[in-house]
Amino acid sequence: MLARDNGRKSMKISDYFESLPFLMSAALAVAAVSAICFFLIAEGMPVIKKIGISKLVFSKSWRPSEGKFGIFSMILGTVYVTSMAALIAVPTAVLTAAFMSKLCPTWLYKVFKTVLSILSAIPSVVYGFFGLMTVVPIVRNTFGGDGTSMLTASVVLALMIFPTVTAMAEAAISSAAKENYHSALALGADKVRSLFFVVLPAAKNGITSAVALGIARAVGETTAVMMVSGNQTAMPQSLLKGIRTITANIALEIGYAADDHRAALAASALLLFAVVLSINIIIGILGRKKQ
Amino acid sequence: MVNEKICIQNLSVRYGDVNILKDISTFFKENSITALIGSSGCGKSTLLRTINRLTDLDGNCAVEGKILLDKKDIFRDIGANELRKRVGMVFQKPNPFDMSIYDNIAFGPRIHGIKSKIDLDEIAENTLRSAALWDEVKDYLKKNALKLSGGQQQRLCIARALAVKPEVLLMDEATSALDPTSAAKIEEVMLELKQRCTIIAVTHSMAQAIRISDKTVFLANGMIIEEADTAKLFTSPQEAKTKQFIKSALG
Repeated sequence: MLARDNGRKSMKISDYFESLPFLMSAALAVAAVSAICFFLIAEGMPVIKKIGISKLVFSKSWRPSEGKFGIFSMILGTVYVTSMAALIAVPTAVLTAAFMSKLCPTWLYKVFKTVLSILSAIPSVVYGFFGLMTVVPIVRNTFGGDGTSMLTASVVLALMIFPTVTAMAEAAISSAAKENYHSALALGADKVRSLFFVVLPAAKNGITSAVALGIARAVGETTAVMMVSGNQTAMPQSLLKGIRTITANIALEIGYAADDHRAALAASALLLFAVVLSINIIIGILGRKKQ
Repeated sequence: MVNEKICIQNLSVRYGDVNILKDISTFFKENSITALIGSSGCGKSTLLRTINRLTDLDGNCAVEGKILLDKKDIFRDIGANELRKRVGMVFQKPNPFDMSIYDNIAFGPRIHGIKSKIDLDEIAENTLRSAALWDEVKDYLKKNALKLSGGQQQRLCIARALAVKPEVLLMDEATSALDPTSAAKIEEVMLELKQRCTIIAVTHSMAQAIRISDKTVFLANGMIIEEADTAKLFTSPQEAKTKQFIKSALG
């Protein structure tokens, strides 16, 4: 703390000029966030005031043509799909990360690293397309229905957040507790036990941030989910029925929405923004705790 | 005839193309403290890590030659986990697990099947007493071990290693990260422990080697240059390299 303050106090005016390009670039990022925030509030607030936040959030019917703007079914859709995706992806990702960082040979580690970075670079629409061409038929043929469903969306979304969570968790596990791992082994513990009882607990903050980031990504993911989830605005009924997420709702309707309808979409975007922002704040707090 | 607890025969250790240890042969006496000295990179830490097979973890590490523990080949006749239970290790940086003091101690015994609270309580008290930590922590056994001071953490790590009743204790510069008072406490503990353990300690401090060790082994460039009873090695070193090293290390 002290060292940092000293560093800043000693800056001269000429130093400020030197750092101007950096400062301006950084300011751009802050400006972008503020602008988005301002825009969402300006667009969304009137309708929130008009129909009330609780009616917007908890009302089950979304019929823009009748002036009914309840996004509860879409909130549930987002929550269900996100949690199911996390349920599938998080354990797999953490186990993969643990395997990569402590158990696998170097050459295999390099293979995994490359595969993960490719996976995270694949555009969302490609995941959606893949889901549509492979996961949808599999679900349709195995469970019946038309295949575009909550289950399908969850599987595709799990696949999408898997590389993010794995890469971050792997970094956390590798940086935490190398000595702890060796100490546990030096007590005669086998590798698996050392991993589960010593290394993973020591890396828990990093792993939690990895999971939070994965969830933030899942909440915001739009295109791929929209392509395979069916997009019914009705309340989610079962794993094999279609659902619509908040993001999909905005993407699908913003093209033709006007007036209150448009404002209601902005309000739901504001809600999303708040949720993702809170997740980021939680990640920040966890990160600070770690130090 | 002294009892040779650990016997090293023509040991070579290679990382990729780099020979870290070159054809080393020596032995470590039971119930004694042996100091390994030498400049950084001479292979003394690698020697230590080879003795409990932590080198197994390094993918590109190749070991040739034999290490015998009570006349048994540690690479062929003893499983790695059993070996590490019998040959404990304390590392340079204190590294308690992120759990309570009590659970740190109980970790090892629990792995090896000791579940009863009475037994574990007894082990905790005995090992903490051996590590000269009991009086300082006996009322806080449930406290997270990371809250202890550096010196206390290192003594906890010694206690943790003792909890599985090792026959040999490897100490890799175990006092170098600590203040002099804490280091002195750990030296006392080591002298006490040699009654029931064979201790092999890597150290950068000549003074420490002189204070605590019975025998000193001087390595340079992956080879043993000279080994002798500590008093003899420091007062009348035979090799020119040893003389030079001791002179520069003592300043």
